[in-house]
Amino acid sequence: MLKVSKLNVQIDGKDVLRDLSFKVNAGEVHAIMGPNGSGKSTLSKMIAGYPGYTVNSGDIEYEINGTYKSLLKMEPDERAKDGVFLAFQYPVEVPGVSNFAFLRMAFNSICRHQGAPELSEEKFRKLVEEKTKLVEMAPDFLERGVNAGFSGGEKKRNEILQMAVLQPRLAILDETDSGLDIDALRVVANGVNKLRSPDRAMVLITHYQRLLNFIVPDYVHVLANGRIVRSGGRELALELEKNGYNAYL
Amino acid sequence: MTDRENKTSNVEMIQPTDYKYGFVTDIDTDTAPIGLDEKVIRFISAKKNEPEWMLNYRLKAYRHWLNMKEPTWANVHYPKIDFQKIRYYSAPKAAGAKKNFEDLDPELIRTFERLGIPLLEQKRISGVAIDAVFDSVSVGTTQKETLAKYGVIFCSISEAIQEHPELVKKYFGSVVPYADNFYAALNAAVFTDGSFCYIPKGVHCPLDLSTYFRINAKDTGQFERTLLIADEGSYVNYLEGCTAPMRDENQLHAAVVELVALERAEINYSTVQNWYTGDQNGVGGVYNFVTKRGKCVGKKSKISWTQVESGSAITWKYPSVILQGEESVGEFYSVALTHDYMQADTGTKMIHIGKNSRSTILSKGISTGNSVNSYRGLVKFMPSADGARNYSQCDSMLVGSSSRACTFPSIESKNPTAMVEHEASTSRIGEDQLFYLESRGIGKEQAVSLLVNGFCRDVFKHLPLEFSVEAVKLIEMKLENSIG
Amino acid sequence: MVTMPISDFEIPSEVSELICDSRSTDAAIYFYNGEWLENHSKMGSGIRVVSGGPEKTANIEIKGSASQRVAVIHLYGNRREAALQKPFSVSCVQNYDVSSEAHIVETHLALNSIEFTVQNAATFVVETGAQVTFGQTFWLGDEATSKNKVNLKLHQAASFSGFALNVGSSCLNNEIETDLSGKNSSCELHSLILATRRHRVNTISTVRHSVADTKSEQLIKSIVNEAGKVQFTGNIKIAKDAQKSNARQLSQTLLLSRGGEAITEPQLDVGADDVTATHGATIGQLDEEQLFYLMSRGLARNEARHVLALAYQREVFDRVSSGFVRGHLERIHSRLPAEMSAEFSDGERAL
Repeated sequence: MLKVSKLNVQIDGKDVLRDLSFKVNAGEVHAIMGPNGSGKSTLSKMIAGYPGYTVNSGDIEYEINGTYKSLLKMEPDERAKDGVFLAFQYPVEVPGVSNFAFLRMAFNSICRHQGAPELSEEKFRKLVEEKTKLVEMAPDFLERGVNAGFSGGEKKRNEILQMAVLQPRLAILDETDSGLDIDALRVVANGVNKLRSPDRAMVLITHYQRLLNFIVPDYVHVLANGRIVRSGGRELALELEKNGYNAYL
Repeated sequence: MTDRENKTSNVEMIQPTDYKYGFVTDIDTDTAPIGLDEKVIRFISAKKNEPEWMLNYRLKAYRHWLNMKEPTWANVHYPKIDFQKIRYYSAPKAAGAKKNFEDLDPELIRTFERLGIPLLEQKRISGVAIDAVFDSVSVGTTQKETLAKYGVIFCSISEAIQEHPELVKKYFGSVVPYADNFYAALNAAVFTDGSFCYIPKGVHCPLDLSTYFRINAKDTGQFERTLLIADEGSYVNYLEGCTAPMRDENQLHAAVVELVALERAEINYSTVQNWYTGDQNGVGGVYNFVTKRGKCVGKKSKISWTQVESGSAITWKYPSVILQGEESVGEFYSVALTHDYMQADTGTKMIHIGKNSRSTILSKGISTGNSVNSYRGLVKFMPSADGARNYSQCDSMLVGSSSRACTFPSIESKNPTAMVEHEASTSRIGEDQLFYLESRGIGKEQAVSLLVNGFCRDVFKHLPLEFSVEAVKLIEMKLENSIG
Repeated sequence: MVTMPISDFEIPSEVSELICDSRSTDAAIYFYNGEWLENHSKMGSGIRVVSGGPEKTANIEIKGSASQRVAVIHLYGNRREAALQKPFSVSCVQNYDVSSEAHIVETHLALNSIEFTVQNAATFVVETGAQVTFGQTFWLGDEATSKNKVNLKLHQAASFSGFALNVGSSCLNNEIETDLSGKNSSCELHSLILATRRHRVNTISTVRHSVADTKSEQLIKSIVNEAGKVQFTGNIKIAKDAQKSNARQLSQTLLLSRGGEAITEPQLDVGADDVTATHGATIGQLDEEQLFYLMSRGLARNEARHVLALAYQREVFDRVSSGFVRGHLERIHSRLPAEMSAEFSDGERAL
């Protein structure tokens, strides 16, 4: 579903991703692990369409309805409408816009694009309230501003809630475990696991092995110095836990 | 030097300790008659052996000045200055552009030593080249040979007019044209001396450059002119210091400083200013009206103004930066301390013209006694300044209940991609913090001093080391005997 | 100046729907081009209108002794054919003297786009212990010019919550003078200023803390689009004896297009040392991070900007605790044409 080919990216004149290549198919869960500064966040933001990066060469292709499109030419909202979703590492606060209103707008926007019928406000509310159970959030938070005054754990759970409502085909989870205690991590992981499906691809970006105990990946890749230096099954994660990243630097 | 008793009758007044620079030097001088007309200007120009083009420039400026009106908008009040009652030239007889220091009148040398500025070889302050200006004239510049090896020109402006006319003609008045304001026109007509520096391409100036101004003669206005040019990729730290004797009459100081930074050049200009402020009743003191402006001409150039103001009866100065080059950077760091009956109206102007230009303003004002401390700033984004950024922070601290702090920033934007963020706050010395320090055995005066220095720290850290030490001591000295 | 007999004037229904919910209004006073529409007005006790005189100014006095909800509505228009219209000027004076609790809205609306001038004065005396919530709206159309002077005097323990919705016109000049003359008095003055096309909105606010223990808070939010120009000068003066005063001011401007201009001059003049006085000013555009977040969830750029611009404005309304005043302001705001308040040309990618 996702094909990254020899991607070379610079920020402010510095190389961040070097000839990066990897592939993800529908139904698979991949983990990308790496030390700080390896380019993990850059990769996830590039897939979502964050501005400010210079692509020198390479491509990111996304398969939908049997054909591949280059994501690099698409605006962030166009990517979202085609089913790409990024769960941010540091979700931004947008006070003054309620979580409910925001979710509804996003949902309807994506529905319109995909030709699916929009839901009435009542029906949508029921849908969302159902999904809040998935991440153990009380429905009253829906009236609060987007991430406004949320704790770290609440922000991460909100990202997963959005994912549950918007039903993306490709989900990138950027360091979803950072800053979470064991209980919050369990709730988030549970939510993600319930969203695994043969039609959906997931990429988990993480530094620590811990998350992968809860969300078991099919494949693990090591990202160091801007490129994928090793790929393997989930045992690779355990090996990294034991030996660290030094061998790859 | 007169000793003054420390009066503590009003517990809320901050008493400055003796102004130890308040002495007078007895020396033979060359003077122009009091008053201002074309003859005085020709007299000054002749005394300095200036070429025709410089005299013409002065006369043009003077004629323009005659049609200008003194500005009255600053938040300061002073009796009208009678420009005909001021003397515009007074130079020590023995001083000349090319003398050795050893040939100078020993009184002059002793004067500067007392001020902590040794001019003679053996007592040289290492790492700093000094241009010493006594009244209107440069009495000499140290370290010229060392600097010459790097191609750095550092001399008096009178000398530069003779020896480096191409540079002077190109840049003099390019940042502050004589028509700019009333005092700039006056200065362009009657300026007597000041420093000239030129840092060649790619040179990181090996020494800090410094000019030390000393006003001595009675009734004399000081109109110095400084021009500093940093060519592409060069770097220089410049330090300005000044003092004046204690007198009952007011003295006028109307200077112009122009800085030019070409592509990727960096100029750091620091001032620790300690003019005489007048006595506790507001009698005497220096009127300090200065136009200081830097122009970041080239891409990625940088000009940084750092100042500690604690003197002069009336201060009216706004070191500014015109950010013309793309990605140019302007900075302004200031601590202004006013006490007794001082009035300060100071601040900065940052004019953003070039894309992605950036400016930072950090201003700390401390008002004590019956003083008034005003910050006046302007941040302006022209339509061409895409992506420009400014951050400003102006904090005032009031000590005692008779002083006043005012903040008048003005922010103008004509560009939708430029961003500005400005904050200001007024506070007093924290009772809780004072108590905490005292409960650990620190006396009240020292505690106040510590807290005030803490308040100023973010500015002091931008001063070169020797200056920051001097600045801390200066503030402490001014705050001694305060009871908060 | 008025082109048909006042008695024949009918308030258009969309206007009366907009204006009030008559059940919750104790008094609704209507004016048309400065003339009092006595027959259409519903008066409460303590309210008096003095109208007439050679300049045809209208003078309202509200002396509240019981809790009141009052709407003062100024409508401007001209129903004659365009060819015969001439610019005209109107003078309105309101004197509000409140000794208990009052919720007052004063709304100036032009019914069509006409060239005219309004000189408006709203003077408040808020007596000891009284509380006033005041919402003032100007929506006069592109050709109008207005000068609005608001004078507030607060006595001991009085409080004043003021909200202004200023929709740009050819030129709108606001002057607000607040005197916190009574101990423990407090005021909040918040405004939303919207300028587009060639609108000019200038505001000068002076808040004087004359005595101890007084409090003021100001939030001024502006949106400037196309060739609009907004200037705000906010002066806070704290007198020597006004110890333990607390003054805060924040001015935010969204400058959204080339050709727009914003000038902000927050000023502080503090003479007492045991006080808190702060001000902040920002001029910029919509937050890029927030924009990206919304777009990454499927909102097109324009939609995302629309959402953020509305959220930006809502902050002012969120501060209105009086349901009566808030409802009124929000109803008017929701009728503003989209390009005034929320839709922006997507010309600048950088934005």
